[in-house]
Amino acid sequence: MVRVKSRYLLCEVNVSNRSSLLHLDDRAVAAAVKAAVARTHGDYGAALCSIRFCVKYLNAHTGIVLLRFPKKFYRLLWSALPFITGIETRGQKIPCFLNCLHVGGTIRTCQKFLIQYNKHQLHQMLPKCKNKEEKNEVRRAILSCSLTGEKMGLKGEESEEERANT
Amino acid sequence: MPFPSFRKALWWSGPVAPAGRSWLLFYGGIRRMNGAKKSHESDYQRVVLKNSSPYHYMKVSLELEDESTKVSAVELKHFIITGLKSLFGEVGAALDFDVLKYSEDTRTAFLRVPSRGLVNLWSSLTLLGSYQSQACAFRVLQVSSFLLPLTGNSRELLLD
Amino acid sequence: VMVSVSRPPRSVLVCDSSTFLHEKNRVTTQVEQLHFNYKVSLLLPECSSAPSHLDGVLNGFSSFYLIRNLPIYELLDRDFLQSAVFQGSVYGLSYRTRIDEDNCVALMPDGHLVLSLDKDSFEVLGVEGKPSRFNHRTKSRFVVSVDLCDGSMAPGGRGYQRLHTGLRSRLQMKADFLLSHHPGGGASLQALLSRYDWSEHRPAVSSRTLTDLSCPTLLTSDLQPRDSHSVLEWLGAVDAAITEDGGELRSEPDQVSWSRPAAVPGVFSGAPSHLCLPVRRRHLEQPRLASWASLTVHGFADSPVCWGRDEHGALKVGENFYSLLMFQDHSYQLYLAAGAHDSCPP
Repeated sequence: MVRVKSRYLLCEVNVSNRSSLLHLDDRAVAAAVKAAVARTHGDYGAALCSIRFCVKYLNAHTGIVLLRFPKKFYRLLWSALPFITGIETRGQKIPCFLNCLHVGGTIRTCQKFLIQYNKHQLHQMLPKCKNKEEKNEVRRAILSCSLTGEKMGLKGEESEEERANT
Repeated sequence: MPFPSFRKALWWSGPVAPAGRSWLLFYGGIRRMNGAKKSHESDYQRVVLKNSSPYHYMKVSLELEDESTKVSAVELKHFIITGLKSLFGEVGAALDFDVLKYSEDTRTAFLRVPSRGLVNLWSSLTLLGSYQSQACAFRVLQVSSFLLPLTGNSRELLLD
Repeated sequence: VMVSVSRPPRSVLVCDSSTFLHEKNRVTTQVEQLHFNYKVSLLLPECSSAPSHLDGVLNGFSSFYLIRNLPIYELLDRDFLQSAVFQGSVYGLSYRTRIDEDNCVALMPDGHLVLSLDKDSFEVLGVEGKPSRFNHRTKSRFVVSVDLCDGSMAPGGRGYQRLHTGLRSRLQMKADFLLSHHPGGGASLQALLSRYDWSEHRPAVSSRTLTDLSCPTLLTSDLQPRDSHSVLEWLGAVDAAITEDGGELRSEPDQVSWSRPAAVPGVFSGAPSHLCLPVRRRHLEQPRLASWASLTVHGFADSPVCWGRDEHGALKVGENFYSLLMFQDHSYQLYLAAGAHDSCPP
């Protein structure tokens, strides 16, 4: 079996004002990445960016982005990501930078890493809560948030991907 | 300064005394000049170097629609950098190639480029299509991993 | 991350260092493997006056002939074979044919006729050959190499007839042809020349004096192979008269060094190894600051053969040249370079 190999870059979008994350959509992120690649690597880079590059997943609440690059050129395209200083969406520019958390060969490994990473973050954040009420609020927030739906979405995409690959 | 880094490579072509010093430094005193005479029997050394050339050299000429246009060496280098930048972006424009020799009359230049950047430079030269809003083309006359062959191209032999 | 689209063409450089006093030194045999020489250049550092003692040698290159529109089968002419080829030392090469697009012919001094043909011509010719090494996958170019001195190629024999009719009536190949002979053998070519439009050419000797060139006086036989690229670059820069910007490198008045590069373009044929000895004898034996001299010989880029009978191609980099550095203590450094696909020099 031969399959087209890709690299998935799991990045987080760092912004000063978290509420502006909600304005993000995958088209805006893709455009920002393309613009940065075109600036640092010129027409050649821009052309590479049009081969199987896409924003696979965007969580506007947590600011997590999953980018897919062809395996052959992912290092070159990756090198342009630090040059992103802002993402333009709906007429306004959100100043931000991308922080790459993980590079994986499949969406599944990226998802595993993301769960691990979030768990770790939670473990770090919980002790910082000042009183019980805050803790409870965090717990309630976790339980009530639509993470299951998001997860389902991610799962669905992944199985679709796998079906396409096999 | 059209040839910024060429002097660096020819570090031993300086005046006699400093060149001598640097040469000895280079050898770290392992062997003194005019030192022990080598025996004639044992020394035969053969080394084959493959793809070891740090630079590649290109002989290119710029063809313009209007033959009377003057292009100086600095303008030529800037033009080539523009081409690199449009094809390979800011990273590509950082390629440290040198214009070793340039003749304004024939618009022919000797370029020196680090080997890993040869294909980048060559492809961007190919795609340069207009100079100051007139059609132009770079003709790559010769490419070599040494500088010597550029002065001895048998295709220039004219017997008429 | 440097964007590297693909790797640069392959290159091979052989560095030999030994001494002329060594009984088994191979410098002459190595150098004679490059048959078709286009240009010879000589650099004599610290040489203030014209090298009168070298004039004789520099002008001693024999002249060569350019024959217009020579049908290649004429090279198989019985009389020509008898009087010239079988005696050895005839050099022939098609002129202004490009190895990457045209059919090229070379007649070597040992009696080999080498044809580098495109696929159509090869099939029309109908003589045994083998696919070129450079595009063996697509098989778009073929090399036919025939030993004219071999018994099977004796005039009138089957092999001879096949090649002769192939060249004469099937392929009907014609080319401008360069022909040369060892000194004194010019008469044997007259019969062939008389039938076609030809002209005689002599290599043009040019020399200049570089006053401000500071030679690396300490260039000795201690040179390491890792320095070879800088040595060749320096020689190339002198040869191409590349000037450095700014005047800081000018020598002090009392240290003015004179160097004489002499170039002989359009030499064609034969190894100029006869230059080595006079240079060593007359130039290097005088006490000088710079105790070395260099001899560079460029081969023809479009010759179908390079080192020995190895195939030569010029797809990207068609260089074949050597550079000989001779030192006062009779040691030498020989740099042999081969192009992108050529086999390793001897």
